[in-house]
Amino acid sequence: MRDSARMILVLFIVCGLSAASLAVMNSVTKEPIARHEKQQTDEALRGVFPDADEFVNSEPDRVWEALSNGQKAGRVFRTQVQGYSGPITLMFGTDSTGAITGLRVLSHTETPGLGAKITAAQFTDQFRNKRPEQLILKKHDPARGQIDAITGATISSRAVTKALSTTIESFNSEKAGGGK
Amino acid sequence: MSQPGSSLLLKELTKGFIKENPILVIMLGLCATLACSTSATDALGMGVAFSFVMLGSNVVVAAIRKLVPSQVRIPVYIIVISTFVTIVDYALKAYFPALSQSLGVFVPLIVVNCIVMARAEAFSSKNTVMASLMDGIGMGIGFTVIITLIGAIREVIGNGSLFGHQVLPAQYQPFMIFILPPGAFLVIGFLMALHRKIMMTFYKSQR
Repeated sequence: MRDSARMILVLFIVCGLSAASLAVMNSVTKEPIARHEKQQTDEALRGVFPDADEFVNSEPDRVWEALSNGQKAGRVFRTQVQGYSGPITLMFGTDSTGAITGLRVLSHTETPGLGAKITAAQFTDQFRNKRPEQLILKKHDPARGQIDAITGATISSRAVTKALSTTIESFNSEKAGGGK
Repeated sequence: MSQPGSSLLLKELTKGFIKENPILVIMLGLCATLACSTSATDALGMGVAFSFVMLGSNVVVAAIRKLVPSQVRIPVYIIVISTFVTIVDYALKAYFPALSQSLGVFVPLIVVNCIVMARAEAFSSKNTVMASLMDGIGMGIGFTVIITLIGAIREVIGNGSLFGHQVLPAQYQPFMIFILPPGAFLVIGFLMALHRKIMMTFYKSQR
């Protein structure tokens, strides 16, 4: 009986001390972590929509209205798809005509040297000024497709390309359905 | 119990470098070693994060070793280790966001890194704070040096760069396999062979 009381006491004290030190650590790092996250988001927003000067988050962490001189200039979307070896998070902008203004891969776990090239400008830059219906890999639909897949990383390339068109599509149908 | 002499303490420190190197001899916790050694920078970051946890948990476990009933020692070690890991994780996120992003899930996974647990159970739960501190520093340095070496070799061969700087001419066609998981096994295997060779030569000359 004495033994078990001691066990409980020791575990209780250890947990208490651990919780206390983590609380201190959390309060110290909370502000810098939030700042970095905001900075990263801002940077990504500007990166995918260079012409806008203000972004209004209309759906938390999913859709932003891009404003230029107070005028609506387009939208920025953030979405996640299944890649070759894990989720890929991306952000992209569309202007008022529906064309893509820019694309950025925020995080991914694709194979280094192959699928990881989806972050390279060589791949992401080709999305700029493309219409949603052109967002197909050339090798899958040579007539309409406008996107070159990365050699050896077709699955990653297709995941990114498809993510853009499905996100736009689902957003538009949501809007048409009177959802917003 | 008498305080161990300084030569003994020095031995606890240096054994982690060569004789009981956590990667090449103890061979525990290789998961993090394999996953975080695709580049020298990531490897160094992982090494430093690991060393901090190793050091902290070793000292705390040694300090409370007489107070903890042996039935609950494992849960206590896990709480101590995970506290240090969470501290490192927060600190990396707050002050080194880029490194934190590229190490990803492997920082929180230090909790289940068997070397930390093994040192707590096999060493610091039976030794003084001072000896455990030395053991922690030694293991930390041994781990950091070897994982950085693995990272550097893999980065140079697999990507032609070192710490993110291009070191090989642009014509060099990188052996992609070295930054893929099999490359880690290859590099570790060759390093182990080299390590054995050094050990054998070293011990022969001592005899």
